Amino acid sequence: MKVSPELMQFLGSLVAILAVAGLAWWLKLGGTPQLSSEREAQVAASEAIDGFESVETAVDANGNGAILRDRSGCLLLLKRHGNKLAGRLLTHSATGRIDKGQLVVDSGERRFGIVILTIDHAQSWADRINGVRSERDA
Amino acid sequence: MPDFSPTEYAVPGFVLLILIEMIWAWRNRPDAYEPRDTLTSLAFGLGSTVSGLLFGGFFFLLFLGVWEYRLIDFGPEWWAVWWAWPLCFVLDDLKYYWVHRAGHRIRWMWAAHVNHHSSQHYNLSTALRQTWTGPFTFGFLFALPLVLLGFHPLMIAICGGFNLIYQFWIHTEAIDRMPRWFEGVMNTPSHHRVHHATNPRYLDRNYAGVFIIWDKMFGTFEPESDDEKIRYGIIKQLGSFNLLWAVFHEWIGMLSDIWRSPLKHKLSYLLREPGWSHDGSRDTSDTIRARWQERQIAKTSVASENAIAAEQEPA
Repeated sequence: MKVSPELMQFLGSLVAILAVAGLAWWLKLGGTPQLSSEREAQVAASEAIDGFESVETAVDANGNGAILRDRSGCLLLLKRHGNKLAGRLLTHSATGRIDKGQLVVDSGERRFGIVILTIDHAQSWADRINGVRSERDA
Repeated sequence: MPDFSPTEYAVPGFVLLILIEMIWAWRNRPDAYEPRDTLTSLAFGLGSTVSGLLFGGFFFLLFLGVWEYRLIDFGPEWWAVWWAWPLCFVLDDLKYYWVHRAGHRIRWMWAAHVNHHSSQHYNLSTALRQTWTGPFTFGFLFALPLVLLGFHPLMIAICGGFNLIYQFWIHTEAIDRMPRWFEGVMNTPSHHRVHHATNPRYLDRNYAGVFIIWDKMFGTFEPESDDEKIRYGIIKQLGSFNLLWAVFHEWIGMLSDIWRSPLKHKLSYLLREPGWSHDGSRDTSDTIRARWQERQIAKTSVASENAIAAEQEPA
């Protein structure tokens, strides 16, 4: 079987990039930082949505994310993405429910995905998330 | 006629420098790399070479056709006109500035260029995070003046290749500042970190490829401040390592906006700046910066009022 030079080059490059990424993994680069305080979550939120000022913050007990509310009632969801954080303002397409005592937030954005938070007052946060949808439907 | 592609020869050097930077990260800044992010960025690089192979020939032939109508003829041995090379390199870099600026200010162009910015990391693998969809924009039009001026498309391609090679090494946090004279003229890691930042003060700044002088000339230069930690990525971070989503998300968003918007606004979703919306419900880099500036002014005025009040208090 004759393989074209272009295909060989492509396959060789594919092996090389897997090797480089594998090396990053082997060297344990990245790590898994966690949110350890409300203050950290608030700073991350104001960076995710410029100027977001939280008046209420709930940080996941395992530091994997947080949910925050500002004065106007907007809700911001933070989740760990690799060794960084990514945030979304929750819209009417978001839903919240309780599963085994944890808050399960579906951002409504398929690729952002579902975030599970172990927080106090999970039910009231779920109600607020679903309230965004109700306000829109009203 | 020379048959030479500088980027092909540079690839082993790219890999070597990434490995060196990884060792630096391992010793000093493990958070500078994230394996899944690195894999996504490198897959972008591989895909972009495939895209270049598929579409590059078409644009080269187009440019050759346009070159027949050139204003200046460098002669049959155009490659032997030595002074044409540095001139072409500088003019190509000026072209790069404008095509890059358009890449940030026109959503159609941004749909392709956003790929280079969607990593929340800034390391040498980010440099290889190149678009797959550039051929579907009108970026090629920016090269036509050079072709019509008389520079052979191959000469432009070679200069463009060296331009890209130069830009590789500036995608790093491992280098703080270069000597002052160098920072004054050339694009550097410091200047380009600003370009990749999402901090409001840095949005849409430092578009330069090789020479930072273009930003200084056209009013888009912003120096890196030691007082503010840079955050990398895009305004709405992807939150996903899915490669295909990373490649096409802005195209999907733009086409969806065009589909849903009223007729008179459809073109604006294609040609206006990223974040623009006909009902003003979204943020552009300009509105984010303006809001940030308002907050800075408010902070300054509160601080100065407090200082005056403190002075007026009786001892």
